[in-house]
Amino acid sequence: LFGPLLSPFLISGALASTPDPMLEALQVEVQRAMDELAQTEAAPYFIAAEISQQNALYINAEDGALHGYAPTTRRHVDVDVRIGDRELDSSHALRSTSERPRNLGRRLPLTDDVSLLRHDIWREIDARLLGARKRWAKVQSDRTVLVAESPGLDLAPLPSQSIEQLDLPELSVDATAWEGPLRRVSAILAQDEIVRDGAISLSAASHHSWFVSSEGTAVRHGRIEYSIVTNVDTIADDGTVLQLSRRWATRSPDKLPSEEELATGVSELHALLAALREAPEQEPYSGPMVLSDRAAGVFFHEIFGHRMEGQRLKRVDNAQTFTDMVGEAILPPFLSVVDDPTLAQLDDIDLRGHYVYDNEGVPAQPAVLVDAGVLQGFLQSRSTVRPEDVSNGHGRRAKGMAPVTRQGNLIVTASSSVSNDRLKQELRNAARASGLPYGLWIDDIQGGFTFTNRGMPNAFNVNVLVAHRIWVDGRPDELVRGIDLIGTPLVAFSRIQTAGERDEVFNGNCGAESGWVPVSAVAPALLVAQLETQRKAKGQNTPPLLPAPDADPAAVVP
Amino acid sequence: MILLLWLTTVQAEEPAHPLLPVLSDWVERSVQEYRLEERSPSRASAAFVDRDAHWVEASMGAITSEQGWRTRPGRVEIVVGEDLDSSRYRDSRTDPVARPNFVVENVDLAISRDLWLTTDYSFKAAVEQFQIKTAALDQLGTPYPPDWSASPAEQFFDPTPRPAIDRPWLHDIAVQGSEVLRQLGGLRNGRVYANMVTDQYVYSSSDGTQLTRTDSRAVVYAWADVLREDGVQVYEYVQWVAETVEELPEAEVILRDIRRMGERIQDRSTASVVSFYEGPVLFEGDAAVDLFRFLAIPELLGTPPRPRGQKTYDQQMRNQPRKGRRLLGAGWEIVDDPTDAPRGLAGGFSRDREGVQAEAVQLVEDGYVRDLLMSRVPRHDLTASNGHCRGDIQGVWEARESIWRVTPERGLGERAFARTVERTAREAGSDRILVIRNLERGRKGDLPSPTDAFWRLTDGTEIPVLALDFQRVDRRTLRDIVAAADGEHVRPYLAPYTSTATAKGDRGLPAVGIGPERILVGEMELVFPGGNRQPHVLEPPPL
Repeated sequence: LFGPLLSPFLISGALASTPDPMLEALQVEVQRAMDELAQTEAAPYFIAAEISQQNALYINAEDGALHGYAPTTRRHVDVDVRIGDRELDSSHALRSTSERPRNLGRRLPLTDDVSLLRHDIWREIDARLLGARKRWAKVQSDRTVLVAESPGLDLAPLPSQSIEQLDLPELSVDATAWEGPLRRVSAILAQDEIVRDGAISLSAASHHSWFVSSEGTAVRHGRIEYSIVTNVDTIADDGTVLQLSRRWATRSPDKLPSEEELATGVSELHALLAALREAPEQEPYSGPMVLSDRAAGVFFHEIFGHRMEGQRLKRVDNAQTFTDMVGEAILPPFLSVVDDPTLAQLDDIDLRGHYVYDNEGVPAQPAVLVDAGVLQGFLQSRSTVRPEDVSNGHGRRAKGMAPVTRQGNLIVTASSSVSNDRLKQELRNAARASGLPYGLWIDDIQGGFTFTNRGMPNAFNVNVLVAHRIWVDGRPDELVRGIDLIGTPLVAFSRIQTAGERDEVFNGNCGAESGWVPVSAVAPALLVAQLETQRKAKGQNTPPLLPAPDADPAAVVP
Repeated sequence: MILLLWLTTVQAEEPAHPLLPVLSDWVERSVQEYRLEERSPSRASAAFVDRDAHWVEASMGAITSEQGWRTRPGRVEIVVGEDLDSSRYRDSRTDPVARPNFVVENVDLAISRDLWLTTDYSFKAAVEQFQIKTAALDQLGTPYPPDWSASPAEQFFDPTPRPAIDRPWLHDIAVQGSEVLRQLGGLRNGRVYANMVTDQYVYSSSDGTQLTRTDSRAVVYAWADVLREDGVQVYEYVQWVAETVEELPEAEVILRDIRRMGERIQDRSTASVVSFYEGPVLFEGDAAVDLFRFLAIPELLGTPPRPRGQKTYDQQMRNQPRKGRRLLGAGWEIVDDPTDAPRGLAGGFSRDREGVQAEAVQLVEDGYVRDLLMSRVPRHDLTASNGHCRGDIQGVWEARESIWRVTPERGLGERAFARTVERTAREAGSDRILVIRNLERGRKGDLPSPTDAFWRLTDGTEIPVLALDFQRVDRRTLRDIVAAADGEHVRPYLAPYTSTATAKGDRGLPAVGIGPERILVGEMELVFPGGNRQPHVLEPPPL
């Protein structure tokens, strides 16, 4: 419970001797609000507040020239005020009305002046208190009028409160030194008529967080990321817009690719785009398929991972696919799945889904989801699926949103696997056995969506970027375009037959109820006995009427 | 319709911007080379702004945001059709105006590639919109006027360099100004925004117009509030607008006025509620000019609304500004002259957004509307531009005010004016007069609520008045003006980017209103709107 330990001047142990002004301001205002409101009607039983600060630099280049840029710093406070008790409180999902996630919070001044910080934190606590009171009345009304819900806590207790003040990583990037390489590499994309639009950008951002709760948690931590992203698109004669992108993400500027590596990557992307533009459109297909490289990771993130997010599983409007299947086999016995945000790297590749504390001040922990095919548990925030559950540090959010259970680093491993050459042969064999002339090999997936709510088909639709036909008769593999992968999750998982090699890590962003968060997904190539594709939504615009301007490499600013 | 081209050349020795030839080349190519079946462009234009900006926001003595960099927002429009063309159609999902954000470096290829894509988009959208618009408007009984008017082709290259931005000054005034509000104590918000924007505008059109123009503005905007326990938010703002930081008032003057604003808010926050007032109102200073800004200027903007498929031109024009309307009492005049900006103030120009030479326009004469401000979009009764097209580069372009002056038939001297005020109050049965010195920002045709109002007793005592809203005020209120004082008040301000929007505090189109220092309106009605905010539950921490 909230106690004298929370006084900023009494905190000891892992907290530094000099009080951090952000932590101090948060602690004083959270304590003050709890004290002042203790004797009032509908007093909160829990208050948490988090300050997040982003220092960022974004440089974008197109066609051999730069857009304007400058570093930015933004600081923001989010507050969570709860009325009720752990079993049922004002944050509980409403059943009588639908709600859209709202972007809340308040911008904070960029100062260490504690009294100024306190002023704005007070404003936010006050505003959230009023909101919590209104919401608490609706939650109580739901409980009175509607049927009973399955149990689960709205705020599971923590075994201990974290008190830690970690060093905050600072940005270190020589923006000027990157101008030339970005200009020159972007100019590659302006060299012919295939590319309609192409850009390359460097982004560097540090994210600092200070979290305090009325239970006694007080943590300071941060993460940093440097990434280079290139996007390129073209439009085929039939109106299909083809878009490809590549991201190099790292936590150290020293590990960013060299100009030569970037140029190679961009040229490869360009060549693939040109090939895709000429590739035939794949007709609807049902049969064996291999998901390889990033495709397998993204597939698991979208289709499996989102169904493991505990908070989603307790909503009454959710189909709760796996809620009652703990201890049952849901995947082939050679597959295991863990979500481990504590993992900073894999095979020397920095993982974007790594963090130390989640947005509820809970230490990140590996969550074993599936062991040898058997469901072990779920990703948990402090709003748990069952009364006995506790958070495993997966309550995440973008600033302004309320934290919900989210994935971090989703890692699928196979206890037995074959080489990818062998996997390709097995794909041919499976296609032949199905009487098909070819099987499909999915190399890359852009993203997708899946419905998890009741009242609509619990299907998925995954946007395929790159796929090949693997011909049974041994013809060369053939690039195809224009397909989405569709199906339903339980059937899809039951048809996984063989695992292949693990090639690439997917480092990306995931958008859901609590906004965009960085994630990683890793999986071996997987042969699935039967999956279905449908034609991708297609644009109706024609390619540009006039030829592209002549490229003149000499026009590039040195 | 065949556009007549005049060429009035103010020939510069070389293009004022290295990318002007690229713009002009694509405008020419667009007209000559784009073709879909039998459709080809009738006209085309492309523009961009080379913009340097620095924005600072501070709250209670600390920066909340500070950023500034170079951008190059652009606008490309290809038009299909003749008298009735593809532009400005309201009932369409497709907007043929493309709004690229160009790279900021002068690389011909990069700009060309953006123009290649944006002209392609704009032309195709124009063909689609033209067919939809033609089909819809052809079914209406009465024709709309042409969508575009002829204007002499101009080549005008403004040699004025863009002024430098004094970033440290902007930073300091925001921090110090908001610190002043913090030091006053008791305020809930105390914010200061300071920014400066410098633009070089580059425009090229297929009728031969080529233009470069330099604009700049520096703004300081401060606002503060108190939330009373009855839920009434008491607030006020003050704003300074000039061409550059150097032309703004001295920092000491700004800080003093910010402090005075904070003190007024404090005073008003404890004022007693006046639930209803009916009687004479004295507008002073900024509020005196704002009375015309909000009630008269909207009646002088001539750009017609965009055509709609379901409405005839006459239906569309029913509530629009019109010539011949009596707006003010006998003898009053209003003139707008963009070429006559007071020294150091922003909002003036010699060529408008469409490259048309700006003209001084006698808008109101002897109280009657004689003319309207026009862009190149004509009406049946006004068929030519008078060089007043304004708007954000990527927003709505329409005829807008710039540097305007209101002149009464006769301004009263100080003593005569005071006697008139006293007599008017006495005739209304009151021993006091309601004085308004500052108004909230407002929408077209609506007089916003006073943010600085007080009673002035006959002995000169001033008593702050809590929030009041005007009731049923429109342009006809201007005919109830009883007297205007001698002397001019100059009011620089930021108008909203579009005529139907509400002004923002620290961004918009700079303009200057000049009018009498004090205006007495014979009778107005104001009511207490009541508090609409939830009071705070927690006490504020010490600040």
